[in-house]
Amino acid sequence: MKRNVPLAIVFVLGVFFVVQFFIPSHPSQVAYNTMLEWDMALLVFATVIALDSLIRHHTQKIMRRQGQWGYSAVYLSAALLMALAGFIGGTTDTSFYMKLFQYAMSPMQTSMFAILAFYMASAAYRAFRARTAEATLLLISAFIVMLGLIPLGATIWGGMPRLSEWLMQVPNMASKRGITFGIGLGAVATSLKIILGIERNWLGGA
Amino acid sequence: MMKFLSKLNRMDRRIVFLLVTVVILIPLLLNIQSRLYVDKATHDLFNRIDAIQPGGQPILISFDYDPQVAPELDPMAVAVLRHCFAKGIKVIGMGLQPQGDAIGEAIISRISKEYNKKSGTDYCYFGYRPGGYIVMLYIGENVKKALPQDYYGVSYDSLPMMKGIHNYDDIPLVLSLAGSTWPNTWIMFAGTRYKASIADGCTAVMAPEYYPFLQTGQLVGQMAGMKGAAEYEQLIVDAGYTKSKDIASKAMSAISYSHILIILLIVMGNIGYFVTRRMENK
Repeated sequence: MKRNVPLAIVFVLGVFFVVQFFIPSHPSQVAYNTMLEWDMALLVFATVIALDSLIRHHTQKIMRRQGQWGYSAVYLSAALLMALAGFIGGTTDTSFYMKLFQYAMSPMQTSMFAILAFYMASAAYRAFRARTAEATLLLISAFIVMLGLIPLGATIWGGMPRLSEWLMQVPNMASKRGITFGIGLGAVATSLKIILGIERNWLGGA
Repeated sequence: MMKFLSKLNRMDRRIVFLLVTVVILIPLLLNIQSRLYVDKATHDLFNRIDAIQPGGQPILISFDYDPQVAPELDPMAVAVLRHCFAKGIKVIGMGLQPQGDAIGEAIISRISKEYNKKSGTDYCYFGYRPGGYIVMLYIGENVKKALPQDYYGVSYDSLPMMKGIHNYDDIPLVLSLAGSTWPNTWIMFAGTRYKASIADGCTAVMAPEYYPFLQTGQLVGQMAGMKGAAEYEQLIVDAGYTKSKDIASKAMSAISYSHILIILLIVMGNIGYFVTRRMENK
C-alpha cells in the first residue's frame, strides 16, 4: 500500500500529462488547470514540512549540545528576528525588516561572494601554466576572452571583442550544446523511469 | 636575474590579494570610465524593450536572485527600469527567489521615485511568489490567479494597470534576472508552452550556459554580468533616456583592471615556471 499507491498516482498522472500536452481540448485544459491548483496546495504543505524539519533539526542540535550548536542558535535567532520584524513592522522600503535586509543580511552575503575574486586571482596565478599543448591552447583562449571583455582589448586590436565573442559563441557553444542535449535526454530517460516505476529512489525507505 | 625570475613562480598569495585590492579600489575611487563594445545580446534586449509602445502592455521583470549576486544584477534591474520609466513603459515586478523579494521592492520603489511613477498605474510589484515553475504555468493560464495581490496587499482587481492583462499574450517580454538556472525554467515552461518572449540578465559565470538559447531565439536578449549592465547603461545614455552612466560602468573599470592584473600574474607565473624548469634541468 505504502509503495503501490504513490507508484500508481505517479504512473497515471505522468502518462496523463504527457498526453494532455498534445491535446488542446477544453476538458484537457480544465484538468490541467485543476492540477495547477492542486500543485499550489501541495507546495504549501511541502513548505510547512520543510519549516518543521529545519526548526526540529536545529533545536535538537542545540538541546543535545552537538558540535557547532552555537551556529544553530545564531541561525534560529536570526530567522526568528527577521520573521518577527516582517510580521510586526511590515516589509515596505522604510521598515525595520528592510533595514535588517539591506544593512546586515545583504552586505554579509555579498562580502562572502566577493572574497571569491581574491581566490580566483590567486588560483589563476598558481594553476594556469603552459605545461602541455592543450593547457597552452586554454591559456591563449582565456587571454583572448579576458581581453575581449575589457576596453583595453579593443585598444590593442579592434577585432579582439569579435574574436572573443566568436570563441564564446562557436567552439564554446558547440560543447555547451552537446552537454545540454545530454542533460535533456538524461532528464527524459529519468522521468520515464520514474513514471514507469523502474526508478523508485524518490520513495525513500518505503 | 634567473633567481629573481624563478621567484615569480611562487609569489606569496597575500601579495596577490593586496594587488587585487589596489587595482579594484583605484578605478572605483578615481571614477575611471571607458567606452565598451556592446554585445549583440544586450543590444537585442535594448531594442526589444525600446520597441514596446509607451503606456501599452507591460513587461514582466522577475527578480530571481539573492543578495550575494546583487552587485552584478542590481545594476541591470536599475538600468532596465530607468529605460522603461523614462520611456513610459509599464512594469510588472515579481520574484521566484525568497530573498529577491526585498531586493525587487528596494529597487523598484527607488527608481519609481526618480521618475515620479505610481504603484498600481505605472508599475505593479508582486514580490516573492512561491512555486517556481507552477507560478510560470499559472501566469500562462491566468495572471490574476498567479498574482492575486501585490506586495503591499492591494488586490489584483484594484490595480488599474493590470486591467486587460490575462496571460503571456498580454506581456510582450519576460526578463528573468537570475544568478542560477531560473532563465532555463522560464524558457521551458513559459517559452515552450506559452510562446512567451524570454530574456535574461545573469552573472558572467552563468552566461555561457544560455548562449545556445540565444542562438535558437528561445532567449530574445541577454545582459551578461557587470559588463552587460554597463553596456545597458551605455545604451540608455546614448539613446538619451538618462544623462550619465551609473555604478556598473564604474565597476566595469575595476573589473577591467583586475582582468589586466590577472593576465599579468599568469604571464609572470609562467615565466617563473619556465625559468625554474630550465634551472632544474641544468
